[in-house]
Formats: sequence, structure tokens, C-alpha cells
Amino acid sequence: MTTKNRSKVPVDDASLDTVADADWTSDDRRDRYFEMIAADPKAKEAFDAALDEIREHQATLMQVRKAQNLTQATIGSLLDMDQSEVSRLERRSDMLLSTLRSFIRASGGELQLVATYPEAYPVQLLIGEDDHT
Amino acid sequence: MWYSTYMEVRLHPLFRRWLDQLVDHEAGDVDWFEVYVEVMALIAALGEFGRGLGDPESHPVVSAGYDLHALRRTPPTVTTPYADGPPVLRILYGFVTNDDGDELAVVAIAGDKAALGNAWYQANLNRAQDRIDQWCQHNPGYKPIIKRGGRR
Repeated sequence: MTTKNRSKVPVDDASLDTVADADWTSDDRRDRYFEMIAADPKAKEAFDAALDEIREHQATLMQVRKAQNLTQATIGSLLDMDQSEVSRLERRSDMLLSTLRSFIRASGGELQLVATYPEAYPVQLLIGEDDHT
Repeated sequence: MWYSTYMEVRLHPLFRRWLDQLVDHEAGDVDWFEVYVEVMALIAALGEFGRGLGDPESHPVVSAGYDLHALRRTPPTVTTPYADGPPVLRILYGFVTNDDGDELAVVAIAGDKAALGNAWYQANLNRAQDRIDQWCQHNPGYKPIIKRGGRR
């Protein structure tokens, strides 16, 4: 374990009035940060590894569809939607659970909802599932 | 661009200033360039997943009036809190929108919450919201997304 001093991070406490006008016209510098990583093979490897780790446990609807080699038109035909509706659906941040479940089933998967609490095992939620009794 | 993007991510100039410091930072035996690479991976993930980016890389800041979230370098688990060691970086970002309904993310402020714990959020969320306001003032047409019932 490192000490408090050894891990001291730069402090981000600059006030708003210290932003110069020129700072607002240089937002393209953001690409420079990525280029700096790309130019350093070790950094690029670490960056890719970190991003791959995130991708392993997170995916957008678009990504799960593409992972199954399905087009929006194919999903649309299964859900009785047109391609543009599927496109909008993939970008929505809120939707009915039934819609989400239909999308996942159309792409060949099954939706599972898991609730997590501090210091407790994750619980799979059974919402709107068929009664198997 | 050598990674795919789903949502545009913009960096507030003061956050960029902090990022510039991080690249060349020297303190103790922490490899700060490595920390910088991790921060950039989180930002790239935000661009790739947009609002979909979730636990453990991103958490909503429930006490904020704005639709504010925190990127987390060291996601704690039940058994291994802060397993990756310090710094316990939190990077606050918010969503803004325009009249066309376009949404993008603005990365506002970063810091180490090791000393303050969750009080770090209270100490920084207003500053993050101020920075998002300032970003919108310089990018006409955009306004911060405020949570239902939320206020400053």
C-alpha cells in the first residue's frame, strides 16, 4: 500500500475565471491525448487492455446485435418494427422491460435482471416472467 | 480515430488542464502516465457506451441536481474495496442536450476521494455543475440535463 503522500494526485481546483478564451477553441486537443497513447506501444497496450476489460462486461444494444451478426432490419422483422425504429430503440436510454426482453430474445439471448446490494449476494429479479409453477 | 464512438464526449478546459498535469505528474512511486492511460480508457468507454456505461466504471451521482455521473478508476468490490490502490479517482461528467435532442457528455472535474470519502462528491458536485453551465455558455444551443425534480 502506498502512502498518502506517494499517491498525491494533481488537485483540480481551478476557478472558472481562469479559463482563457483560447481554451474554448482548442477542444480538438482531446484527440492529442489519444494520439499520445497511440504513439507509445506500452501505453497503447494498457489502454486497449483496460477498454477490453470494460467491453467484456458491458455492451450497448447495438453491440449485442452486432456481436450476433444481425442487422437492424433483421431485428426489425422479428419485432415487427422497421429498421429506423430499431435504430432509435438502440439509442434510447429508457424503455419498457418487455421491449428490452423482446430485443434480446430477437438477437438470440435471454434477458436477466440482477439487483446488487452492498455486502450481499446479487439477486436475480423475476419481473414479468412466465409462471413456471 | 482508432476506437469506435457512440456518444460525443467533450472535455471542459479545466479538466483538460488537470489531464495535462497528470501526464507529466511526478509524485512518489505511482506511474502517473499509467493512471492517465486508465483515465483515457474510461473516457473512451464513455464515448463508446454513452449512457449505457454503468457499474463499476460509472455511477450516477444521486445527490446532484444535474444528470451527473462519476467515472471510477478503482471500482471497489465487496471483498476488495479500492483493490487497485490509490489514487481513488472520481471524474464527474454530465449530459447536455440541444433543441434537436442531441446529447453529449461533458467531463467536468476529477479528484481523489480517498481522504474525504463520499464527502468528496458534496465538495465537488457544485463545481462540476458550474463547469457544465460554463461549457454550455460557450457552446450555444446546449443546456445541462437536469434530473426530474432536480435543482442546483
